[in-house]
Amino acid sequence: MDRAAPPGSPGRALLPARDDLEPLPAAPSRWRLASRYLYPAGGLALALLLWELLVRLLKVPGYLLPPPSVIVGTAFTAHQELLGHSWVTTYETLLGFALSVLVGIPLAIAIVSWEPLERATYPLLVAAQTVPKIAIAPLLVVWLGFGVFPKVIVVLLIAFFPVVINAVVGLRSVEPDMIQLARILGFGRRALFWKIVLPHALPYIFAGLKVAMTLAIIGAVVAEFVGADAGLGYLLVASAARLNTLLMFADLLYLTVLGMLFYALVELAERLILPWRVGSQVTLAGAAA
Amino acid sequence: MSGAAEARQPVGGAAIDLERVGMVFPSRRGPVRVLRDVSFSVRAAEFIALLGPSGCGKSTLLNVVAGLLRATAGAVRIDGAPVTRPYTRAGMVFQRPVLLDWRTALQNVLLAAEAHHLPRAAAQARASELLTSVGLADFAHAYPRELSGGMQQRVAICRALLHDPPLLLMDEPFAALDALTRDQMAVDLQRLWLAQQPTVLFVTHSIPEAVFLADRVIVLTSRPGQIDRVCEIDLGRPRTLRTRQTPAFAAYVQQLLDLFVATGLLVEQ
Repeated sequence: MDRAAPPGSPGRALLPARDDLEPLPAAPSRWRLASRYLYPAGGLALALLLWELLVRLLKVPGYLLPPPSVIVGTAFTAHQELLGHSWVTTYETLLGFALSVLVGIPLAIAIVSWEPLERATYPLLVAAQTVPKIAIAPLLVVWLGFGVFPKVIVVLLIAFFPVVINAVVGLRSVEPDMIQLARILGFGRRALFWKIVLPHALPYIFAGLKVAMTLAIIGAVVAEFVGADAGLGYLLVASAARLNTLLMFADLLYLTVLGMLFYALVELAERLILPWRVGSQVTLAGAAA
Repeated sequence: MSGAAEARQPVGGAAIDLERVGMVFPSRRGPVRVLRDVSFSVRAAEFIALLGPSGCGKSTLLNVVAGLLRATAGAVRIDGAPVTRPYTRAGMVFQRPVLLDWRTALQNVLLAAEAHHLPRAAAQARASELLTSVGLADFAHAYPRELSGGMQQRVAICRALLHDPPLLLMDEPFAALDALTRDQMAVDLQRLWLAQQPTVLFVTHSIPEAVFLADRVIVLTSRPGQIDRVCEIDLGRPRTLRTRQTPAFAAYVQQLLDLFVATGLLVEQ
C-alpha cells in the first residue's frame, strides 16, 4: 500500500479530512518499520564495501586513503587517546549548547512579549545570522586564551541563533482564533502563555534545537582548530601535521558518532516532551546556518 | 444517543439586547463601515441564526456580542448588563476547531474546566458525558490530529458546552465540513441545545442550515451589515432530517432565497 509515501513519514503526519468516526490506519507494518532502517544501512554497507575494494585493488597508499577496515581497527586500538579527546569536545559542545538554550529561550520569550526589545534586537539577530560566527574564533582566542572557555563561547555563538529565531517564530505562530478562544475563556497573560503559547511553540523550539546541536559540534571542532591542546578538532589538526591520515579518519569516525549521539539526544528529549507529535515533522524556520 | 447529557436541567439562557450597534474599522483606504444600526433582542434560550453574504459583518457582530470587539457605536447588553469586556460565561465555537494539538480530545474539553475553575472530578465526568453524546466516547484519548474535521469540531462544541454556558456563540461552525457531516452536526447541535437550552447566536451563510436550526433567522445586508429582515421559523421541535422535505421548510428557504434575489445578492441567469 501507498509505496509512494516518502520514508520517515508513514502516512500519519498530516491527516486529510476523513470520513467521520473512522479510526486511524493501523501503525505501519513491522516490515515497513524495519525497511526504514534496512535500506539506508544497506546503502552504507555497499558504499563501504566499494571503498574497501577500490583502495585494495588500486593499491592506494595508506597515507592518502586508508581502507575502512583499517580505520575501524585504529578506532579500536587508539581508543584511549580518541576517547580522551572526545570527552573534551563533548564537554565543550554540550556546555555551549546548554548555554545557548539557557540564553536563547528566555531572550525569545522577552522578544515576543516586549515590543521595544523586539524592534531593537530581532532585525539584528536575523542579520547576524549571515556573520560567519566561526570567523570570530581567533578573536576569542586572543581575548580569552587557549582554555575550554573560548570554545564554549564559539559554540554558544553558533548554536544561539537557530534557538532564538525558531523560538520566536514558534511563539508567534499561535493563530488568532486561539487567542480569541483564550480571551473568551477568560485566560490572563500567564495562562495564555503557559497553557497555549509555550506548548504551541515547543515543536518549533525543538526544530531549532536540532539545528543548534548539529552546529554546536561544528563550532567546538573549529574552535579547537584555532588554538587548543585537546579535543577531536585539535587531534585532527595535529595528526594532519604529522600526515597521520589514519588517525584523522578514526577521529572523523568518532566525530560522526558523537554528532549522531548528540542529535539523538535532542530527538529523544523531543519524543519524551512532545509525545503527541511522534512521526510528524516541523519545517525549519529561518534556521539556515 | 440518550443519557445523562439529555436529562440535565436546562440552565436558562441569557437574554441579549443590541441597541444600534455600529462598527467602523480603520483601513488604508479610509474607515470601513462594517455594521450599521443593528438592533435586536434575543429571548432567553432562543436559537438565532445570523444569515448574510460573506463579509457582511456577521462574525464581527458575534465578536461584539462576545465582548471580544468593542463596537464603535451603540451598546450590547446581556441580561441587562452592558458588555464591556469578554463575556467569559459564553461558550464559543469558531469556524475551525481551534484545538490544542498536545491535548487529547478529553483534555481539550477540560480546558474550559480549567478556565472556569470547575471541580475536577465533576468536570471530567461531564466532559466524558458530552463526548459520548456526540459519538466520541471511543476517541476521548485521541489527539486532534487523529480525528477527522467533523470529530474535531464536535470536540470544540463539547468544550464550549462544558460549563453549561447561558450563551453559545457559533461562528460558521460547520462551514469547513462536508455536506453530510454538516447535516449530522446540525441534528446533534439541536439535540444538545434542546437538552441544555442556552441562548444561541449561530452565524451561517447557508439558508437551509439557518432554517433548520433557528427559531428566528436574522438576515443581514452586505456591507455595511444592517438588519434586512427577521424571519420567524415556525417549525416544530425536534426537527429531523425529514423536516427538510416538508413544504413548510421549503417555503421558508424559498422566502429567504427570494430575499437574496431581490437584493441582488443572488442573480438568476
